[in-house]
Amino acid sequence: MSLSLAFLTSFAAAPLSLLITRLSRRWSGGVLAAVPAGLMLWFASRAPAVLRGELPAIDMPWVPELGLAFALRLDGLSLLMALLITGMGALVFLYAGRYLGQRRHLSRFYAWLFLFMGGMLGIVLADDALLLFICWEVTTFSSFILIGFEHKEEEAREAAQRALLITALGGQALLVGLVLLGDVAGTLSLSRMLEPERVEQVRGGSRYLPILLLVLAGTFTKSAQVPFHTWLPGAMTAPTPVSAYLHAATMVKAGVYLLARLSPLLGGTAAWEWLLTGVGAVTMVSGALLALGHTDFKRLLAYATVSVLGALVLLLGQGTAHAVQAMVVFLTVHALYKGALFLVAGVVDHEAGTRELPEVGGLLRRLPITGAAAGAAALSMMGVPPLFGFVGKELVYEACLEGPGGWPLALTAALGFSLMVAAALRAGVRPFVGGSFRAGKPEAQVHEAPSSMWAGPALLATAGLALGLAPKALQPLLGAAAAAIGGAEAGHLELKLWHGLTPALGLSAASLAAGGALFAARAPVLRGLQALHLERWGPERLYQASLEGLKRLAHAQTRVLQSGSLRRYLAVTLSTLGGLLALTLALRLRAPPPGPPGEILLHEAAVLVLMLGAAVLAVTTRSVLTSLMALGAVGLAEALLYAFFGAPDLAMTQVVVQTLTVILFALIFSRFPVEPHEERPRWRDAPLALAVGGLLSWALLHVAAVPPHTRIAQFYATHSVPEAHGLNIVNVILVDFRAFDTLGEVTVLATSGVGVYLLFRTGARQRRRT
Amino acid sequence: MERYLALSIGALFTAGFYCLLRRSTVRLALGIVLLGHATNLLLFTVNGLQRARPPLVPEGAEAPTPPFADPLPQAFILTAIVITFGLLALLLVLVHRTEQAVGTDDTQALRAELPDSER
Repeated sequence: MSLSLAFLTSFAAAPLSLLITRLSRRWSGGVLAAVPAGLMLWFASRAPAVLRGELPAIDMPWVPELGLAFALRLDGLSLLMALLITGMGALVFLYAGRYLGQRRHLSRFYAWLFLFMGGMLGIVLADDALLLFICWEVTTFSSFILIGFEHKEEEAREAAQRALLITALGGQALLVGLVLLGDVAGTLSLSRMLEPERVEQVRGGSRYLPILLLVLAGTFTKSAQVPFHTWLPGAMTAPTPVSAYLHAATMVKAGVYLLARLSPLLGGTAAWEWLLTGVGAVTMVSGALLALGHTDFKRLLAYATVSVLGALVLLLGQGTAHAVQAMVVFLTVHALYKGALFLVAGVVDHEAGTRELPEVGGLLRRLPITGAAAGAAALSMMGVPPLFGFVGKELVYEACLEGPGGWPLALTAALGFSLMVAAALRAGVRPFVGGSFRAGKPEAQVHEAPSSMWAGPALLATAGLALGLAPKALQPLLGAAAAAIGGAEAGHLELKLWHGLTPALGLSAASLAAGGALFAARAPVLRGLQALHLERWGPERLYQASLEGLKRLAHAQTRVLQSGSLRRYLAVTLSTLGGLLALTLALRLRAPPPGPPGEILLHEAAVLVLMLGAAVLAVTTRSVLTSLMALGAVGLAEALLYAFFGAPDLAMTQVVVQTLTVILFALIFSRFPVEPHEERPRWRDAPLALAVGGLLSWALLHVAAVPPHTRIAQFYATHSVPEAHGLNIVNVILVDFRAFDTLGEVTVLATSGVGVYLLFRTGARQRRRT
Repeated sequence: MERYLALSIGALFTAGFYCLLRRSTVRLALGIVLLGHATNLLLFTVNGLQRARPPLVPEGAEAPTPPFADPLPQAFILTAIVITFGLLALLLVLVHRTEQAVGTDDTQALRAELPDSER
């Protein structure tokens, strides 16, 4: 029960943030940070049970008709992710309180952040595929809102739209994939899917490949894999706390998380191995390359995040026990240092007034604590011993060397890491120690940020250092997370700083040296990369072209369909009606059924002739008065028909209403100047009207051949007196059996009466004024 | 009789559609009234016609003596007649006010009154 409470707390906190912000803007961040911090403590207190293998879980039916269950489960992987989400959340709330303190809509910002946190916790806790999908979409949507938070800026709106289009389309694919998966496996429960016979059904089934491709479409878009990565750098228009939280530490890892969660079910096949390893490797190298070519602090970090996400996917593609362990460790490493670096970027932006890396330098004197945190985080990113990043990198190399990828894959990874080393030096070191300060404001005015802003990066960087020195502290938790993905074998995780003189150490040293050299020679490299405009190629082009195409298509079809011409709308409507009628008649029935024409009495024939003649006159005459008289005649003829065929009530009502109609027409149009329009010639409107009218007649002739249905009439006839005590059956139907219909009718009439009154009144008022 | 009426209803629909397609809003209103007549007659004939007694129960009896006319379409049509009238009243006043405000009863000309962005 308390598990669902933990899940729902953030949703409940969203409205609370509105109140807290109103009470105190200054302290709101610190107060609200208590919510994620409390949740983190709660999750941490569950750790001993989870490590013992007693997994807290709940399973309640939600919408059983759809197979939707409210099922949550906390295993090692969920616990690790939940701790990252709530821990980073606490730091980010604390930070945002100061970072956005003066900004408008701060409370709204908090509310969306809480909503995101709830969705993200839901993703990692959900044991039901559909519940997971719902939470997945919650994060997509809150990410969209938060990217477009500065909604008055064109760039932010464009970036938000792009992120939504890419991730939401991927989400649709994921939904189809999960539903297919649930259909094949026979359950939507993620833990029950892993039962051996169900795994057999999924992997051996003919629908394995479509399921895999759909799930990959969802996860790759969310985790910004090439070619879907283009939304992530754009997302940097979001306020920095959002970039640190959603677009580095948590949300972009949702895709990796889901892949990890499903890898025992979908993994281990050739398609899985090739697709994940291939896409991951390409993403890792191209992400790092793009990162190196950027001068904007946050964009550089965003591309570096793309690169790391590629590495994580690559490791899942390898799928060995070691690869799974490396993935879990590297994910944690990345969350720590990338969160810190993003928060540092925010501090630099906030204090120095620029995010352009070449414009800042020597900031360590001005921002000592922030600078130290940035340095430690960057060293962890580079994988320098004795930081936690070194431990993670060693594991990645070892997993690559031992896995099916072997040396070629390890060298690819080394290439990616070398580029990343150079990027880390540019982002985390050079702005603080080397170069000169050339930003807009005088260097002397740059001060250290308030403690609530440096606390986050300092804490995260310290954690990176401490875990590097004593990696055993996290060993049980990370082992449990790896075991949740790769089984017991992956659970035997041994973390240590010194692995001995291994090939992995050699690769590590080589990538550090190569990265250092690349950084030393950065000027020509940078110029070359910038001249290539890598980010404008390929997927970027495709995205722009398809967006333009979509807009053009919308314009073209709107011009045709929404022409603003009433006549065209009616012509389209009538043609559709006629077309469908003609199709049905042609497909299912042929000519009108044969048979005697039926008898017609003389007075009936006379009334029909009168009615049709009056209708023709009403349509053809140019005089409004003649039209009105003819219209009255049609109505009276209709009333006579009702009278002939046993409906005196209808006849009476028809006479009254028809009289009122003619009076109303006469009142309105007596003062109406009827100018002859330059009408289209009649022959252009008449054929369509004739065709549709003719088709309706044809259909009615078929209807007339069907024997009448009498059961309902019999029901009303026999129940009218005993149940409703009324002798006039039509009346009884109206006010008793179908009284709600009559209530609706009265409502329509009253509404129309109010409308008529208002229109007349405003008309009179305007006339007085003129 | 149903067959003759089927053809007549088709003719009324034709007249109504034709009026709708013309440019004048007066014709538009006329067309709506004609469509109302046609639809009501359609409801009336669609389950067969009988030259029969009205669906009334004689005093003291439990049920009407057959043959009697089908009461259900009659109830529908009664509702339809009234609603058509409500619709028409609103439409006519709207046409009137539009003509006052814009000075035309030409639907094509009304289109020209839209701002460019909505055309």
